[in-house]
Amino acid sequence: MRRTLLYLALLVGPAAATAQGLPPAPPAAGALTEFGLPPIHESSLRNGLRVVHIGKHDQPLLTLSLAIPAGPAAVPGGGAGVAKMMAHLLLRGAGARDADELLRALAEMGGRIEVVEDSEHLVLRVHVLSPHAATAFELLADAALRPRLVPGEIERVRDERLRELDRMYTLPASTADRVLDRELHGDRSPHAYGADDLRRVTLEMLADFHGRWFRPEGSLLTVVGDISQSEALRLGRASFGAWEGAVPPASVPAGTHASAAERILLVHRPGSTQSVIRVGATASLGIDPQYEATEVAVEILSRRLWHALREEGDWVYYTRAGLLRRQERAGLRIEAATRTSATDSVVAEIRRQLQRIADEVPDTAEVEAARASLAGALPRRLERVADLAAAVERTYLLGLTPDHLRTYRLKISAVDPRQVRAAARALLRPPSTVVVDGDAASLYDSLQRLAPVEVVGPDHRPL
Amino acid sequence: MLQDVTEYRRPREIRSRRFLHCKRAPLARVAPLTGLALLATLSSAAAAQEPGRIEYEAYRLDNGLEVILSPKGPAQLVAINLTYDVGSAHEPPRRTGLNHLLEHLMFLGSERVERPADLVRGAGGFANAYTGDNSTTYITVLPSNQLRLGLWIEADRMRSLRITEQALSNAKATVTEERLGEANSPYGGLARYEIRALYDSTGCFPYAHGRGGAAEDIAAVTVEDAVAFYDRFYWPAAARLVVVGEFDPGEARAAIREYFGALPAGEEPPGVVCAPGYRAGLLTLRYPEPRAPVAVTVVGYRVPPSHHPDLRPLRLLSTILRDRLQQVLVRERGVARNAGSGVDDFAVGGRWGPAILRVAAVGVPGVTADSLADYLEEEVRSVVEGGVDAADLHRAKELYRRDTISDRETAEDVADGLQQAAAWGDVDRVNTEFAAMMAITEAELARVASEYLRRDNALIILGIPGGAP
Repeated sequence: MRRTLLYLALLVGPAAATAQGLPPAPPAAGALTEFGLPPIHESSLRNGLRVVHIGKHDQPLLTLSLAIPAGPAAVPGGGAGVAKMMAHLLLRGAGARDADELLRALAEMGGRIEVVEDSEHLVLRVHVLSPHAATAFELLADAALRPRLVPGEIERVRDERLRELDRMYTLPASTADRVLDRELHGDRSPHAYGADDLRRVTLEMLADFHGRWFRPEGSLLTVVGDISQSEALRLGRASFGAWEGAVPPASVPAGTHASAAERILLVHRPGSTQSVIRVGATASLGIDPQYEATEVAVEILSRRLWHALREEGDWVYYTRAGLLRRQERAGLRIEAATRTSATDSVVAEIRRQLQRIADEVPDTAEVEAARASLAGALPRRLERVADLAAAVERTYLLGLTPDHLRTYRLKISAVDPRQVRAAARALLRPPSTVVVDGDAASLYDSLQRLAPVEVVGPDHRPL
Repeated sequence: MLQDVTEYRRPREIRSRRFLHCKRAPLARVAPLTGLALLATLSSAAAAQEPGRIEYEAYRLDNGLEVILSPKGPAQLVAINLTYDVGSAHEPPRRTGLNHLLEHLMFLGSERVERPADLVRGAGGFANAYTGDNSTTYITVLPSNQLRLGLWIEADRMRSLRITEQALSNAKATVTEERLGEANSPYGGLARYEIRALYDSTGCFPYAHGRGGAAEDIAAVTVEDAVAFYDRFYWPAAARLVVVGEFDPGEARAAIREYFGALPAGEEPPGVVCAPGYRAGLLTLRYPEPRAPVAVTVVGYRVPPSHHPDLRPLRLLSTILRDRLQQVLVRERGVARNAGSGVDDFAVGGRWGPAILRVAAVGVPGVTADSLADYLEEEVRSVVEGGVDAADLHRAKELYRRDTISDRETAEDVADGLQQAAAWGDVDRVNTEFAAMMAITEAELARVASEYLRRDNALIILGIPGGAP
């Protein structure tokens, strides 16, 4: 009897209770419908402000985004500090509203406001429920055109930024990001400022910065959401029509700021048990097809790193490689974090993977998977109104054709393995810049065996 | 290039489910709300902004698998959200962290698939998973022509997981790195784990330990432990499948029947055997942090479980508190660099756990954690004693309105909303909750404020910079 029960248990137990009816191999994909990006309308106001509109009407949401070419690239020598202060002051009251009234007005609309900074641009965005479109245009124009540059608010913003800088220095990931960005982009980095730069900023510098760069000709207004083109243009004219002037050319030239030789910047964080690792590089890339080929190469690299570092090495919880397209140069950024004892192994493996992708033509299956991944992800990247606005705006700021997003899948699908290797050689081949934030006393010797090590503090100053 | 984003917004209400992998909502950086200046002009516009109804079809397979389908197009995407009624609360003593380990193991190979995430990514999608107290969720978002692939992967690993020594070793290493990363920043583990001090571990162990588990417990987990846990909880009858996106409902039903229909139901998984209990009275915990330059203080108030009607006014109250703390502590007094508030209800899945309304502040240099606690309590008292006005409540509701509408934007968020509503036992709550929130009155806010935001109902956590106790 006991034997019979055991036999029955084996039959009905977990070993037998598997997915019997399931096909042994993954099902084939069905037919993919054409990607339905709504039409993009482009026009200009008389003052030269370009206006891009996309109607997206499935939810009553609206994003207004005003991109002004007023990033650190505009101001030589400490421009990032001015741009950083300016970005925060834009959110501290404008026109007839002080800071509290501005935020109160946004809350009434279920809205929010944000500033996004990169090298070349300062982008001011307002997100609201779409029936409040008129107020949103008004608030955006106030914030951009009529910020309250008053001494009390400037001092308040300065104190906050100084405290925030101190806080950032205590965070390993934020510190490593800042150090890498400054290494790669020099004075054009939005992080190319320290406490002294913030202390030097005056009301006059801010007023000059605003007066010089906040101009309609050269700026871009992107309107995406539940609004018609005619209404967007009408409200655009009402809010921005009286704005005048043109943006002068940028002052800080583009160019690589990264070291030509391989080295490791080691940010000393005493007692840290985990190292945060960043690896980056920049390169000038063509538009098509080299850029798309680089995207495929970075996608392959990202997958290889995941397998090597997480699944085979047991070294990391998270790793990824990403590519950011910019006007002059494209940037690679690799992220990882690992326990102190494995840091040299992870850095060595990342460098090995960079060398490999530059040296070897990837096999067809790997390229196909990367192409499918990038092409398939496009609708997800554009699902939200705010994300669609940012993507379309980026397309215009980079000087790409308006149908770039619509033809993206075709371009990605046309990339072949040899193009991938060629693109990888341009951007991904070492030397690259390596930043490690961790306990220098424990890491120095092992990292020195990989490349020359320079020890710095969280503020990027040599120790 | 890395972009630097500065956002002045009222952050979304901390979502009703918070999981081990979820990033915390940032503390608010927002100024206060007073006055009624714009109410009159905006109220008519706001009336038109009702969140659209989410249409869905709910049914159950013979083996007990609950299915909810919600076509949403033309998104060219499908989101698959499969949630099991098992979480960290089901872990046995000395095996904390087991559920989280199993969540990782679900991505490390089955009888048919070596790496399911590779299949998903190669198809243009992404996959993720979250561990909660009472549930574990697997999310896959794919191009809509890959719906069958996503369903096939979930059906496969529901009963065919291959748990090996190698896979378990990898999962342990990954989880350990995840914990190291959290602990590597000042106060990294403060809110997540120490708030558990509110619960009485002798009275109800399941809710008294963290979702991540203790390091020694994780190290001790064996393949046999993981297999036994998997075989106990990963069955169709203990799971709920939600599919949202651009798909043909008939084809989806057929694929679900084909892939999941033949799976045996499994036994009803055991529930949590105790009601989560609170420690009584005021509790104060000191948390020295040698790496921190400034003090942090968290005050958590014991509030009812997430299904309780009082959670609605408490959520709106939390939004109002967030703005007041910003106004007074950050902008007017200048004693805090940041301050905020949120409701953290740990439980879903039909077995309710306690929740917390939390207020917190990050001090400026020179302000002690004890002083921050005094400032926080003072502002809470002002709400309890002075109440909130109509303008406060109106703005809190508008922010809730925006969040609700924003949650209709993506297939993944809609799937999450349906899953939560189903966990509450009423799928249509995804459509009715908005009206219930809009009906909350000032009197209800005043009542819950005085009932729950009491000093003798609080846990105060003092984050001490420099490590001095």
